[in-house]
Amino acid sequence: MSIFEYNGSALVAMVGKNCFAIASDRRLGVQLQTIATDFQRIFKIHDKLYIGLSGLATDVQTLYQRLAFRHKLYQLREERDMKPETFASLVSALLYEKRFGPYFCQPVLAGLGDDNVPFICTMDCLGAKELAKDFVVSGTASESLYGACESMYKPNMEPEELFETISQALLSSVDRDCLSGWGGHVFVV
Amino acid sequence: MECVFGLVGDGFALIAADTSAVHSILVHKSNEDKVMILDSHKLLGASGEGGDRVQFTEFIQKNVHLYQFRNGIPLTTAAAANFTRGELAIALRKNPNFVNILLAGYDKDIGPSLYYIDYIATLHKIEKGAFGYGSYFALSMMDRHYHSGMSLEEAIDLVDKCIMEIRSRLVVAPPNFVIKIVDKDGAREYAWRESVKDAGVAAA
Repeated sequence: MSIFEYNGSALVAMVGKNCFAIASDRRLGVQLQTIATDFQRIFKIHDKLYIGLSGLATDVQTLYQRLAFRHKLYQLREERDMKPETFASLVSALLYEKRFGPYFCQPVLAGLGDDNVPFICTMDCLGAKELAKDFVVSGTASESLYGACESMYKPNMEPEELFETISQALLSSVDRDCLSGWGGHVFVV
Repeated sequence: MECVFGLVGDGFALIAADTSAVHSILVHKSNEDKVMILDSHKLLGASGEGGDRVQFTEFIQKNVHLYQFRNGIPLTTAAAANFTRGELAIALRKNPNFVNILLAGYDKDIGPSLYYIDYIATLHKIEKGAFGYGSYFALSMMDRHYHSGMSLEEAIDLVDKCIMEIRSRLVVAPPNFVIKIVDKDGAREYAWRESVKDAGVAAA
């Protein structure tokens, strides 16, 4: 079994009309055994920026701690919050630092830039950014998620409809993946 | 095979662990205490490779004491858990420790809590948890019988059910278990469940 599939995870982020939604499953497992059904994979960086981390749970926690530290330092120095694009570059750089001994995580970023323009992106474990205009997915259920999102997504959805869409896409995809599931956390901003 | 399991009840948390020290097919001793009393209100149940387990848990215990000496107040359970996870995470990519840990503690304002810390430094706060081959049986028994806010009698009854299940269904079941509890009065040993006593050494 691959190291990315050790804990099991599912993450998806979608763009709506001046809003974004990011959702994750809640299972923490150790291969076939479920340890907990309330594991948090999505973290708030600031009011308008959330990062979801899929993959190995220990690296999720380590990476989040490092990123929160870097962002707090940035806030102290610059006296403002980081823009989503800047933060994406920071995550990418942090991951590539470990090029030959990487963090086994695939981050999904979602934020609102200037003028509340929504921004989403995903990266592989080495920091290769993938910007998208509609949705990004990550985790063990990513293949199901691609299919579900492709069929359910429409551009310019209002927050309520976006919430429904992302929830249904997440739930139907994790139902086909034994390593993720047990409900979902959805953040709509 | 080593089993450690624990749960949170009404105003207390308890950890039960097997007590056999095994090397391949040989059982060195059957009364090895694997649940360390970390400080006055914390328990650390550890399972994993022998040397790593003792060295790492003693290291954590001494550092927890050091914090208390330096700062005059004890660490909270959450802080101790995060410190332990941090040490495991730092060691993970240098010289990994193969120790799985259940950390139980009682804080005056928060009450009892239980933390699951994997050998690869995955930290999660839980109500019930288990490690080892025994976890397959213990977790299922706890899923069936556990509810939050159990009284001590109910919890010990559940622990006994888990031990019975492990003893009867696990092919290399450890014979003896120790149960330790932590509540507002502190961390202490509660009971042993022995089915095999070590033969005493005859006086020379």
